[in-house]
Amino acid sequence: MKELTDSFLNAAQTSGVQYGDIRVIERAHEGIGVKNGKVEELQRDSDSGFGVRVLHKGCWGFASSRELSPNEVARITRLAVEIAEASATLKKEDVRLVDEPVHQETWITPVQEDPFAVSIEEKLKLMLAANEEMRKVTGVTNVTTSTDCFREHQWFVNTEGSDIEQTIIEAGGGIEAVAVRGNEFQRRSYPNSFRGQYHTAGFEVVRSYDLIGNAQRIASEAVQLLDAKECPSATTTLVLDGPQLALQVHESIGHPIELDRVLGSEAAYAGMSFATLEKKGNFKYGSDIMHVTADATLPGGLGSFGFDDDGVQSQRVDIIKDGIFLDYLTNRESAHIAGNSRSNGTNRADGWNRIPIIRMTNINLEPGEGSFDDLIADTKDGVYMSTNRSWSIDDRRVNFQFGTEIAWEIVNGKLGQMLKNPNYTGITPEFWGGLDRICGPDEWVIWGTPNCGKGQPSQVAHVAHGVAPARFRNVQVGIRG
Amino acid sequence: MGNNDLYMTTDRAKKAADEILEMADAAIKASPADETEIVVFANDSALTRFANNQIHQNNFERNAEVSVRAAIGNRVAKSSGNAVTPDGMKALVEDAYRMAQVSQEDEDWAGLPKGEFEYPIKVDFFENTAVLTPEDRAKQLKGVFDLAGDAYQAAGTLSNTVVTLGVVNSHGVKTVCNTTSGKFTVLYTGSDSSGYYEDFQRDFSKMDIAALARIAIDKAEASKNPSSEVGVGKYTVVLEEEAVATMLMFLSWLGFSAKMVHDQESFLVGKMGEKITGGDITIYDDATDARTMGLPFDFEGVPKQKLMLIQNGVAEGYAHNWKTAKKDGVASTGHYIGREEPLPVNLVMSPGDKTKDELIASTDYGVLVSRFHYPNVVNPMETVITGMTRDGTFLIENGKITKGLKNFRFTQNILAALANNEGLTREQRFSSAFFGGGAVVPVAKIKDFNFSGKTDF
Ligand SMILES: [Zn+2]
Repeated sequence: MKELTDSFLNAAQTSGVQYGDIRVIERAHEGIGVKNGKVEELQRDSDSGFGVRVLHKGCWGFASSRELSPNEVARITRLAVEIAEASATLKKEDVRLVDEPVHQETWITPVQEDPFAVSIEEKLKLMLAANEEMRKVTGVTNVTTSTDCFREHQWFVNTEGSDIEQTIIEAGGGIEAVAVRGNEFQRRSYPNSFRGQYHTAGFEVVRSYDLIGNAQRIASEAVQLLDAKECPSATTTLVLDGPQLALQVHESIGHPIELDRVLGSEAAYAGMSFATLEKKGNFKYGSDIMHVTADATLPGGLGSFGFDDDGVQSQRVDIIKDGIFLDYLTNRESAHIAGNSRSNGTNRADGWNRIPIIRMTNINLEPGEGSFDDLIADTKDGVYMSTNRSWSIDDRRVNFQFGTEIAWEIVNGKLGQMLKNPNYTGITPEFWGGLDRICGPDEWVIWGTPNCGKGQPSQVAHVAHGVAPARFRNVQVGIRG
Repeated sequence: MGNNDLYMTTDRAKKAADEILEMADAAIKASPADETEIVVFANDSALTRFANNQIHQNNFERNAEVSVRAAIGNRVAKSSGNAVTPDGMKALVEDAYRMAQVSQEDEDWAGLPKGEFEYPIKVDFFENTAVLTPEDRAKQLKGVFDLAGDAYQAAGTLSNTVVTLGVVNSHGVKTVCNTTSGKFTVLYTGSDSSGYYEDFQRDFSKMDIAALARIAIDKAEASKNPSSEVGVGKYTVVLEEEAVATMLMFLSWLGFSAKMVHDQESFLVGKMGEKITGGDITIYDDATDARTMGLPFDFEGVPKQKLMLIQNGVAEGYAHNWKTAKKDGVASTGHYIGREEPLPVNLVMSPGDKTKDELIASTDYGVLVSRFHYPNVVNPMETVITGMTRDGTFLIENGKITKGLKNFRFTQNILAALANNEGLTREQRFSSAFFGGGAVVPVAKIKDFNFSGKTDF
């Protein structure tokens, strides 16, 4: 490894760059999917390579290659310098990095049971058994069970002297049942939709989900939904469960607070943000009980790590406190634009072949008080929605519409009839302004979002959101096509 | 600058392609599995990204995906990596073989493709596109930034890519192709409006960057000072190509796939042979149409074929790979994309006989939509999606565009929209869809399009 990083440091020094870093990365993934009793997916993926980033003549250049040799590192470093020089021909402003202490450290995700050490036979057995349990339910059309694990081993070296070795391990999985009748399509998932729930952790988390124990309930709910009452169209009180609230936080808080979006970096693709610079420190984002943190130091979230890809140490930051918008997610090149003297450590790349850009870490809605039962008992009437089914939000993150898999009426403090095809729509600050109760720490769970897209060329980030179920007043539900 | 040693010239690409076939062949011959397949997708990709009238991200990547499928009887597994070396391929073959040993029997397994395949589609390789330097890209962008002036900010990408796709299997399939592509996207954002345009070409020199940028800024200029006077409701809309392409890609994801039909999860279930859209809607998949930027074969080496999906409004077909085709007793249509669900990715919608001006002129009161943003599925079997309009939404009054509008949320059934079609342009364009892919489509006029919400810009 030192051969490669030394080759980079030599080439960077020869070129006289202002700053440079190299990330050498080995990644591995294992995925297993069983549908209707058949193994439809049994695969391992791996890749390795390195990416070189140089700041030269005030501009960035980035080049990367899968060929791990000192000669290739030298070639790619020269190319990165050539790229920065091309950028500099059209420069308006120099890139300026805020300071970060030099770090020479090793960081690794704590795991109880290395997910790659658990045999494929054992994983398959669990997936097949949960599949079999769901298939026992009459009326279910398709059942799917899946588990995935990921490992990323990275060496980061920069021209300032930082030298960081980091290994991040993730595991997760889930079950899904689909019931179809004519034009009617219903789906239930557990613990979360879109392949389940994920953590930076070992296989112990997959065991803890009790997929087999929940299989029949989930499959039955999918079938029951076919005959359930349609979610009414109304403006009402809305209670969201953890998985749906996590995605609500993701889309209407996590993305708009990315400083690069605010500054226009993503304008042509993912879009910009309504949370513009003058709002920092004074904008009323939501109700007084709203406390949002960005916390990469939390154990177990998909946004948990030791150092970001600027070599900045992970941090916990208040984003919204007492409903007031306080801070953005920043990196070393943007922090000073928001008036911050240090990056809060959110620059993350999707592998060796992508540049780091601002990504969410664990963006959390801090807990309130009481149990979920207390919350429902305290609600006269409304709708309780669970598990995301679809999401859509405009390019400044103002108008959103979410659908969930299932809902129940709330009548006089009790859950009533099951409702199908639930969805709701709103305007971000109005919606968060209607937040009037959040469940307590016992109900608070970090939900993984392993499919966050951003950037060109596209980058998928694994991020997370710690939330407890919460209640919102005056929400429009039941939007029809 | 312009150091050619750094880039994939025609000769280097040819040599790399030959080496890939040779290495894969050797690794397959040494495989202990009953059947083995190696697919290599190698790329050199450069992308200059810009925002605020300057280059802010500027990338180069040399990568490859080497993907191995190994079968022992009916037990199948897959292993992928990115080392294009004899040892790298050998390790993947052994890994896939070991996993297949512990897998379950799959009675639907059809074996790997067999056949004396002919590949009639030839794709071109343009060296000028392959060796484009960062400086070349920067030169092109200068005019794009100058055009923005003080009133607008330009953002977008200018990229060039070299791709090598090779497929080799133990039944004698052995094919490879090299191709290039260039892409330009630009968004001009002003104080209260924006305009977007894009183009794709295999030959970079065919792209008139200045002309494309002019179209985008004209749109931004025309949509200045947007009005919020139009409330939610159903309106006649003129959907430009990107919006139509996005609807087509969603139809593909929602059901033009044999696997989804088998699993009862396609909107086509029970509808084959029935009229599902207006009579002048014809949609097919056709990699032979060079505008779709199609490749000669799919990811298991089966030649791509033209596939009718909806003909004159009637549901006609869906895509097959080798495995789903065997189940139905038909031939693969060449739509394996590396997972269980085959998918059409070279969509074409037949043109009409109008011009865009005629579609607008025939509209008393309606909305012109330039693009959609972030659509998602509301009801898959009914093909209902929701999303936003973006980058140029206009009011049409008495046959004329009169002003820009603030953006809408739509919640709309795609098949119903295609049933409410009131005219298509005779011109078609390849346009990308929001979540990837794209389609060659005309502009469409559609009545009763459902705007279910609004936003504040
Ligand atoms: Zn996201």
